[in-house]
Amino acid sequence: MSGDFEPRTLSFVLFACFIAVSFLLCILAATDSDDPSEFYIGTGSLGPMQNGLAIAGDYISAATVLSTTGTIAIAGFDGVLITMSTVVSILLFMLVMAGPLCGRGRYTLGDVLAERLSERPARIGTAVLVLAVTMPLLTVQLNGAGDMMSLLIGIPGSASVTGCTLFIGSLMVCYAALGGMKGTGFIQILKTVILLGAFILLAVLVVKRFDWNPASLFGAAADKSGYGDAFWESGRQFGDSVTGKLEVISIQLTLAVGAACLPHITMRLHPIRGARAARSATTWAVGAVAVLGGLIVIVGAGATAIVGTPALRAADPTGTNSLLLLTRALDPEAESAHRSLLFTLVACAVVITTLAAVAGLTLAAAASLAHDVLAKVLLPERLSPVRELAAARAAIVGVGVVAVALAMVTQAWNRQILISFTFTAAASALLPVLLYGTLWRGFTVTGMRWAMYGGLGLTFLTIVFSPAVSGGALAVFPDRDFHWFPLRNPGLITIPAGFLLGWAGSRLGGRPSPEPPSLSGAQGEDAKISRHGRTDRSATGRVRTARREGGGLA
Amino acid sequence: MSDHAWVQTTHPHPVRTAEVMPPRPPEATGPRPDPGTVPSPGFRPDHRGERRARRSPWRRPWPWTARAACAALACHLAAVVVNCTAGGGIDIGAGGGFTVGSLLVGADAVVLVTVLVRAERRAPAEDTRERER
Repeated sequence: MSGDFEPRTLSFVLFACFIAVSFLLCILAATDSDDPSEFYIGTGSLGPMQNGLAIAGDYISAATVLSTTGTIAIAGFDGVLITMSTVVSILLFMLVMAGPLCGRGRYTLGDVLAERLSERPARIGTAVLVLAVTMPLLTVQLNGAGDMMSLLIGIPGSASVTGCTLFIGSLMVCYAALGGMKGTGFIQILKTVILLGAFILLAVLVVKRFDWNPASLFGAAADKSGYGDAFWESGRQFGDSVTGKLEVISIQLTLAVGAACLPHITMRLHPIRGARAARSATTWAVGAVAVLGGLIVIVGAGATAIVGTPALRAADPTGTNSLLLLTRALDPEAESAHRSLLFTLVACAVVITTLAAVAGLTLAAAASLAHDVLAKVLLPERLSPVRELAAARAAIVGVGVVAVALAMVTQAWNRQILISFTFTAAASALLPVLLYGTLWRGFTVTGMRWAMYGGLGLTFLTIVFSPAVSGGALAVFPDRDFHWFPLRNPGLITIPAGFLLGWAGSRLGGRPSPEPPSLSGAQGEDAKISRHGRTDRSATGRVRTARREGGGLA
Repeated sequence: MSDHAWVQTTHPHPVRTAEVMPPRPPEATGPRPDPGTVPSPGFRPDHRGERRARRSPWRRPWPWTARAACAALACHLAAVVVNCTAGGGIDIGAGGGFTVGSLLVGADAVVLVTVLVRAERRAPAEDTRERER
């Protein structure tokens, strides 16, 4: 498909403008002090609206935009349900987790869990989980951004995609390392506004084609889908078999509970202070995501109604390119002049979306490495603030290099499997730990270990032996067949298993010898938390924590 | 004049009226706790230092946010399951109609909006409560 596009001067200019503006914004917002707290939670100065839009920006990834539009265009109502799940997920998460997570002066998820559980296993486990969850998503986003930029500048071939991926990876590292939390926050706000603007424009153009009548739009989509009226019923994505229905339920459950608990989104909650600010941010975030979801439904239906399902499937069986194909079809001059302003604008919006998403993900992964592992476990009390900041920036570079390398290795893979792994692992391992760790006083370190490693291992095992990896035309290894697990998205099994493991580990787990109360390590953290917020752990609290590790609250 | 009972007088101290409560019978007050007894493991001090019974999360009153989240999730999953299992539509005539699942999706959207509006309305009260704590 890349060969269909010609190089465009307009694209270069507009893309350069987008990059320059976002980079300038990032540098202007960047912290000028050597305080790690400014780097990790620097968005404390943002208002509720800005925080809400930044959360929405972090939440809406390029995968959300491109995949959901494609699923609606290819599978109709199943895609609409996915959009609903996306909105439900952020609402549920903000409602339940905004209170426990916001405004306590924490930097990472490790800080949250280390307050109530034993510090070392909590921080190490969280770092492992954060890396396992963020790296696949980072890889997918970088691949998508490389593809999109290659299309945008009109240079076909895998070498061009590799070069573009490298370029996007370098930009991502610069944004995250220079801007920190505040800089990436401003980029997320910019991205949300640009994305909403681009989708409003597309939706208006689509509805205008059908005489401003949404009913004719959805009718035309059903006619051109090849399914007729059944297009707006469930079952088009995975078929009407029992496995297909279970697959749909599994995806919906995974998205509804797992999409919003990713570490880069939870990190955005830490700087918000007070319930009122949190609720206001919730309204803005959910509102922005809901509006975008509605627009995605219109645009997806428009892709089917204007381009037609056969053409969309021919271009990409997963439908990921539906948005771009629709954009080209909407601009009558796109084919003749190869200077489509609409296409360039939409492609730039998608690239900026990806860029902002990967910057947030990189920051979350690097913060977990530098703060949880290095500053609190490997070198407790021995890392000065300046050196911790330097370590965080070095970790960003390291994460960026690994992510770009992984993106190159997985360039030809079906990206759905990596997205599926990310969301399922987040819902099966991260969510139980987060919910139990903040809301259940009986949660123990054993339960945390069981939920974290058990949920993660189970997710990995079921996905490796699923049809997404082998035994299908779109599988990673299409020529081999070693699958025995029937579902591509194992969330229906792994999510309850993760919660069950957390509960069972806390109730049935052994009683390791309690940690002696020490004044090093955790005490420094305690003092910091006490300064920032209300959390206060004295030595007595530490003893209590150690006792809890043994097997529940005394 | 000062002998008249209704003449307003100023007293050096405010007059106190004290009602003496009659002594309560021993069965009303209950047995006094033995200072030597050890509290049962089910009791532990709360943040105010008072002892209260330990209850499982299922017996404790859930915060309204958790209840709202559960309602929204249940409604959404019900919509999905009904869509997958029923699949049939409700024909409203003239070529129009809705699947049962679509109606539930609509209900789901209504739940979401309600929860969001309620969250916005309750935010100031929660903020005050949190500050007082």
